[in-house]
Amino acid sequence: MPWVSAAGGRVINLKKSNLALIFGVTVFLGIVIAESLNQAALTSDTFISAGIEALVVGSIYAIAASGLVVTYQTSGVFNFAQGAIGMFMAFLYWEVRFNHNWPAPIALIAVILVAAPLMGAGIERLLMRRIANATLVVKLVVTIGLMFLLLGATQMIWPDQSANTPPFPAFFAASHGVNIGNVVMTWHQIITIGVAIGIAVFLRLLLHNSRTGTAMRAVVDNRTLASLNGARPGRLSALSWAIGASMAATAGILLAPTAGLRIDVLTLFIIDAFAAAIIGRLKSLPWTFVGGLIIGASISFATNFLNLTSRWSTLSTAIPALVLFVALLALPQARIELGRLAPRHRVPRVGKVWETAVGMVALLAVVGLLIAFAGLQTTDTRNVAEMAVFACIALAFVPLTGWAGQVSLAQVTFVGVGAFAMSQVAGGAGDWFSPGSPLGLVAGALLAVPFGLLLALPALRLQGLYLALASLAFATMALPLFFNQPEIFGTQGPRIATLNLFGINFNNPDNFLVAATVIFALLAIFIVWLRRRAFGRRLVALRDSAAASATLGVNLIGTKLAVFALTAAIAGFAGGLLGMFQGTADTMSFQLLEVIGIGLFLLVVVGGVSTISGALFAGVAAELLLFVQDKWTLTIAGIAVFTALVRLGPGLASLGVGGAPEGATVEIGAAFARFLPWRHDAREAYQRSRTQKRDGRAARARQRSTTTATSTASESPSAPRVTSPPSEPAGREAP
Amino acid sequence: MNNVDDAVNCKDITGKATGLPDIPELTTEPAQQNSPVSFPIIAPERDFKNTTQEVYHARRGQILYFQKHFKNLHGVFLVPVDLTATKTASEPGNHAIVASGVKDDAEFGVHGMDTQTAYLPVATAIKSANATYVRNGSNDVSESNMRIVAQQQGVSSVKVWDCSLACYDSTFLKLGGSAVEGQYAETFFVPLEEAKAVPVEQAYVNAVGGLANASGFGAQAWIAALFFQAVVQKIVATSGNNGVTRAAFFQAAATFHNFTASGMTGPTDIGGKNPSGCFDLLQVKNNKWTRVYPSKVATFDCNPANLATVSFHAQ
Repeated sequence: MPWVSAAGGRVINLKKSNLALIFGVTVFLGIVIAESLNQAALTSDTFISAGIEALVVGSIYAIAASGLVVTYQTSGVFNFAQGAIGMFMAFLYWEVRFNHNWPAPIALIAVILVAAPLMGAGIERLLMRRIANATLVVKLVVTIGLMFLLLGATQMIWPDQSANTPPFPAFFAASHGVNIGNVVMTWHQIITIGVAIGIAVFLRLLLHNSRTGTAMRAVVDNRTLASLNGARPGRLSALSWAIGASMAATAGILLAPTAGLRIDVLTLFIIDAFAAAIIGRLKSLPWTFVGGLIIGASISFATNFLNLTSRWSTLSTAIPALVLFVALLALPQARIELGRLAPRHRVPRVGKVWETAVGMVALLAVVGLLIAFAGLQTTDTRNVAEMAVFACIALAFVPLTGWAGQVSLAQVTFVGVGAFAMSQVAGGAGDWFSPGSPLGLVAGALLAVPFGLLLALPALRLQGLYLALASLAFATMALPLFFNQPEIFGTQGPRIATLNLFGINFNNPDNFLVAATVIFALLAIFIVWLRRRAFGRRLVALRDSAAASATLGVNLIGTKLAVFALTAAIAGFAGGLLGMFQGTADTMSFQLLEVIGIGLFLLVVVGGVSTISGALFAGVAAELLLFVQDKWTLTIAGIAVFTALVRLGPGLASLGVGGAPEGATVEIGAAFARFLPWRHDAREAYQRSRTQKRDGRAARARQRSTTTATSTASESPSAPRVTSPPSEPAGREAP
Repeated sequence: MNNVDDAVNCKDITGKATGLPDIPELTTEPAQQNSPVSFPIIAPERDFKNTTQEVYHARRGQILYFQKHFKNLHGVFLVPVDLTATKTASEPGNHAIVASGVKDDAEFGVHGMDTQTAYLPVATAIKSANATYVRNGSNDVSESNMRIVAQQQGVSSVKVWDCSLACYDSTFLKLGGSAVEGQYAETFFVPLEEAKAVPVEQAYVNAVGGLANASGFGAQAWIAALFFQAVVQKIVATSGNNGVTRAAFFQAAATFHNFTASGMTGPTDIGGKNPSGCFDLLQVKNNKWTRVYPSKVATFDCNPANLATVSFHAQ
């Protein structure tokens, strides 16, 4: 039976484009493999060592991914923090086992069977249960924020891994292991594979041969129906989170001795397990294990048989992301969700263009006052200018995520593309344009558009979580495939001249600050203008109900392509500005875990992803966190609090998004808007809100008095039953 | 440093592009290696005076020692490929080793983020080739992982495990434990364990809170500070306190052709930016770094033959 595709209001067969993309990726990989094939001897030992590596690495991926699948199956939340939980628990295990010398079995029980399940259940009870009906953006932001929080907390609690701290040896490191041919398989490797098999069997028995497992699956199928049949969805969900956290801890503890007790390495390694979970389509545990083995085999093939030492030297680190991207492309076309709209706590008002213009003039006035009277040092002025640059980058999230509801974590890639374009066409003498020409910014925007469209291709087929994961894979792959290429940033790190316009010296930080603020203001006004046009309304319609939009004839393909291209252009433009500000750009600046990557995404959602003020909030907050982290020190109980603020700050703030899903600036704006002379609507809304509160209080009071009277009457049957007629609350208008 | 334009073009109060002095302990980027304002403590091996050919004067003192004590060395090279710069920086040394007669059995790219499992194919290749020499140009984490896997796999043919200065770190001993026994590493300064023999080096060890906190890169940075001090003192001695300007710094720095940092390092032509062949060879014995060659405390082997001239095109 034909069904409405996510790509548009008609049945569209996108299999050809899928095949073309998969074919393209395959051809590319074929070329790289042919170029890098190691001519070293292919012996039986080589194959055995490759097989062992594939099995061990695949097992760790499988353990971590199966935890993800169990959690997702029972709570509907994809836990981006899975890697960070595993990393945190590995550190905790090291602390009790090697720093406090607990016996290994007790330490393992304490961490895997006590601490991790408690953390998982606690996360479910305190965070996830509150966002059960929230939008996808909120769900994603809370788990990504949790990941940042754990990264920051670990960095804060265990900052020192120097020679003075004990090592983290493998299990039974002193024993020889088992010989397979001439290759030795260590006990740690055997245990890793054994644990993976054990977990697979345990999960199979739990989910299919136990009452609890059946109830867990029933909750996934229909939470209400399961509840009516006596199941307790809340408890089952907490149990699944506990199991998921336990598995993350197991993966972390098995991984840490071979990967080292390194925060980012452990976290990213387990994040790579996402690909295995997607191969299992987030529901099939056997296929998830197969997915883990596929990734393990791919990595093993690359390390054993490829000599990736030329331009593809870092490609092996992107293998899981490549597998994730291909797995997402191979997913069946998403159907348009016909369900209800996610409830919205407060719908942000669509501002008028002139209001935004007034706001931007006020912003410029504040900047002017800062320059004139605040006595800022050069470095302080540069910090404020960087706020404006960050805010420009954050604007790229507003139309895409705020209005169209498309979650993309890859904006940082477009920022890098913009910086590259700037460096090539107006970075220095001899380029196409004069050094620092604003045309370089335009070139940055233009070059980012095809990249945005490339990401839009999977977006035509994927929705929600899958799109977010595709963007994650896209950003991860961009590092080895694009930024690391010698033709892009090379070893030199290209020189990028600062802005050159009207003969003004923008090397002066004051001038650059004004220029960056003006650019932010112009971009903001343009975006608000766009929001009030038909295009803006189409984006909002796409977010609210793709099905309804398609029914009304909205061209979803065109709209999606347009918004991806537009926001990539904004990010590219801002990337050029960032390059001008920094004077250079390099391969490592545009990674996901950088502050301009996921950090800025979290902060813009906290601030209000559908508003200009949310973007401004994100820019200011990101720079303030960087500033405080660099300049201030505060030690509480021997822990340096500010060392990891750039991660802790967005992480902590994101956990509160469930309470204000539209963002902090929207809530604050709603509270203060009634004081603006022209905002009659805000005053009326305020009056309505007060009336509703008063009605509520009166209704509760009536209910209390009725209950009291009833109980009194029931206590003394002779007393007359007194009930007061409902009074019309003051201020309520007649219908 | 990727880009030195700002440092080179930095203006003085009169608006003249005097430049900003830069004293790095080591350089990996050609831009900084060839910068007129940079005076690296470990001078670059690339000969930038030769504009017709890509020529390097690479250090190989430790190989001459190994060849004297171990016959028929052949083996495996581990190249750090995290960045193009780290890869190209390790190439001259590897070419010099091969040019000195050590056969290259296999070459593997390694990353700082690799897990131990990634070293399994390297260990297999070492066993297959019965390699007697393994050179790692990466860091302490990489080499400790390599040694642990080699121990697990029962690699016994290797006579020389050779590592760069990056391995000379107490963290290496902690991570590797018994697996790193016998490890060699070369230094270009008096080993930190002998700091008592050189007061300026002892001052460094004291400043960082003891030997456990000291590292090879830290010691090199200390030498850089001593060089700055020496240049300033020379200017003051000739021109007085007010003579200390950036222009004067460049002029004075260029005259230091045998800088020894009061005995902390061998005579080094920092002013002329020529690499020094002076080195000490250390080995891990009983989980401690121990001087192997030259045997006398606080001395170096500065034989001119320790530098080999090789020509190749860095990729």
